[in-house]
Amino acid sequence: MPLILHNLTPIHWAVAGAGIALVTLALLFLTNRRLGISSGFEDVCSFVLPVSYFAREAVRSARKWRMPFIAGLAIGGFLSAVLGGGWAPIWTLGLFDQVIGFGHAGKLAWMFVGGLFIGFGTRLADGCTSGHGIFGLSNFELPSLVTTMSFMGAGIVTTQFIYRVLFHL
Amino acid sequence: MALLYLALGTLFGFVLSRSGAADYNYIQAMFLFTSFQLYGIIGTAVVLTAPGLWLLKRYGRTVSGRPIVVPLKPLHRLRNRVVDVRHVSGSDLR
Repeated sequence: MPLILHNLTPIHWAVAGAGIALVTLALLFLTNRRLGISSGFEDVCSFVLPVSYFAREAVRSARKWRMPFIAGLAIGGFLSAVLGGGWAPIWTLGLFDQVIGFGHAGKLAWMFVGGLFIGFGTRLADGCTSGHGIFGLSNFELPSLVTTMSFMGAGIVTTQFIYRVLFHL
Repeated sequence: MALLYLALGTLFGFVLSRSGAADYNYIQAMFLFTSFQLYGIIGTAVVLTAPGLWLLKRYGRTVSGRPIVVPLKPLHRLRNRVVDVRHVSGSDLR
């Protein structure tokens, strides 16, 4: 299955996994940081929302490394597009467009609600696929095992339900 | 230091983008059990990171000689933890 991005062939999963392991270990060995992405949502919020939750020390002290790291994520995606055939804003979503459709407004609403769930869920769980799924599991942390099993299980159940039951894929 | 974080983030973003980890179809295919790709990526990353982490913690220091400090995620026990909107807007939910 080609990527949505320029129909490129994805890199092999073992290579990609090794690359992620390299970034995770380099982040710890070189800079003593625990890999994590979703805490960056709080960092971004802390710049614009003057509430005590975002003003706490854990957020303030992490901004100086999380912000450049997350900026790098966007640059990495941009580079990937440029090197893979050029960057252009696209709004295609593969299986979603083929099976669910809903038009532009519906798609925007669907994505917005999805974003709300991701924001709330990652704060509720204190981490995402990176902080819990990669780092936490690798560090044999029980909360990360519980969290990863929860979001993978919930992802499987809801995706199977939506695509196979509701939309008869 | 900011440039190092930027570089590591860029590598991470590139890998996620090119491997399918940031691709809608691959994420759905993982949950629909029609592609092994993302399970393979997460599995490989954990299998390689775990011994690396163990060695780093045993070796006990970063490149600059400072001791490894890994902030652990708290375990929220459901029986004494009721999620309350006041916690979300306050400072209790971390």
